[in-house]
Amino acid sequence: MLLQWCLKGISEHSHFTDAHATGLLRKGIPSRWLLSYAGSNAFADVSAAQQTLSQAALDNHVNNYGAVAGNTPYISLSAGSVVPASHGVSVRPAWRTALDFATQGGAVSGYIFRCWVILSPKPSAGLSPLADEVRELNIFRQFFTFHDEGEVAAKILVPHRQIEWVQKFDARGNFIFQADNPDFVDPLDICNLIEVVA
Amino acid sequence: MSRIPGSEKWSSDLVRGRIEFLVDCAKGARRLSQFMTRRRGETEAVVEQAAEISGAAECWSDAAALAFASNHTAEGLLYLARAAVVSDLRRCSLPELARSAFFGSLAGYLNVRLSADGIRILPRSENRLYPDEISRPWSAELGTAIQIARSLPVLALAAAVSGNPFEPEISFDGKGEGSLSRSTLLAAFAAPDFRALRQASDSARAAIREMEETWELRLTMMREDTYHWERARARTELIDWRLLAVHVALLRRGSSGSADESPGPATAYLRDLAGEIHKMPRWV
Repeated sequence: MLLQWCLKGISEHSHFTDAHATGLLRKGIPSRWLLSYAGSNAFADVSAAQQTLSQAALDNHVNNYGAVAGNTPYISLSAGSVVPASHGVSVRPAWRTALDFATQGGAVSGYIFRCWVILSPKPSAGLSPLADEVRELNIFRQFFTFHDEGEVAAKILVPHRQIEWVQKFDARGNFIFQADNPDFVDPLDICNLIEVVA
Repeated sequence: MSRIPGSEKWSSDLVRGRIEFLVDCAKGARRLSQFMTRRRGETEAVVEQAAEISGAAECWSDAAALAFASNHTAEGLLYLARAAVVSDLRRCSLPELARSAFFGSLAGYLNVRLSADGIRILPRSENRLYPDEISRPWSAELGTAIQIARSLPVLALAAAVSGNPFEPEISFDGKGEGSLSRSTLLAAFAAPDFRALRQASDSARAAIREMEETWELRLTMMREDTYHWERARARTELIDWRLLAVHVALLRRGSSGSADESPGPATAYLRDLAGEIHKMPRWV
């Protein structure tokens, strides 16, 4: 498994304000499914959410988002990508995609979250703890249409301890504030470099 | 004067908003990339030490493409010129140099010449960033033979767009340092834009036709991706820069390539755009 840093852009609007953005540092980044269907029975909710995960559901999330926007169990994150270009290759950094989503292309202010996820090197659309590297065409050839967005698809909920901070930007990309997550767990703490017994 | 086929429904507000977003990203690329990769508790002063600018040239060239696509050619050339000077031409890597030379020559901002000794770039006369000619010799420091072979078609295209001979007067002695090997040159000569710029021949016409057919298909596919297209966004480069550069180079050489054939709408648009760029005043 790989650990991957990602960015998530969410635009500001009347139902998603500074308080909501900083609140996600305590709750995690939810999928649309979780927002729409979660009730008071956590065990039942988690089980039901996992039932919604499948290769077909991931395909709809990436290639037919309009049809599932209200209830998709996946969460689009950006890790950036490199795409072919006239002069060789072209860099599409994660920050540009995240800012594009956060500001709706420069129209409104928005928030960007920095988080890490566990990536599977094979398709794992049905397993909620693992994220799928949608941008990796060697694995997910059916997602070439959105390759340039450098998408990584997390599932159901990005746990709050995997979110390092949230930053707010205005529509012109000017930095407004950053809120750090005091509960954040550094991924280096769980990577596979093991210290000697001293 | 024309717009890219299929852009009729793009409102001027949509296009202007998208261009402004890309320009904001280009101008703020260093700051934005540093902000969004910094770790919790890092101060701005620490972050400022990072020097890499990721994605700035692409934002400028994407803004240029959208300006061209919406019939703002002069504005597009200004953005291309900005894309050309994102990297320090005196010490950047070969791919970055090729990109800068390519966009800079298309913008009329840089004059690119290839010689037996290396790449020579003459910026516009009053340029404060680069007051003197920049010379980057063919050497191991510039890149390996394979890297040079990969970049040579783009560099040769930049030279041709600058109105200079596209087949560099480079020795075939293959002695390594300070020269290019025959195999390096032959590998580069296989590129279609290299063939397209050869003096009028069946091979050159076939190469241009091949590039134009690819461009027609590419624009069709971009338009069919309605989610992006309706937002004036493209999954890939909105303009086929290499084909555009081939037509500009042909016009500067006094040749029209395959203009005698009846082109498809995408090709007709790109040829018109090349004609407009050719008529624009050049800085160098």
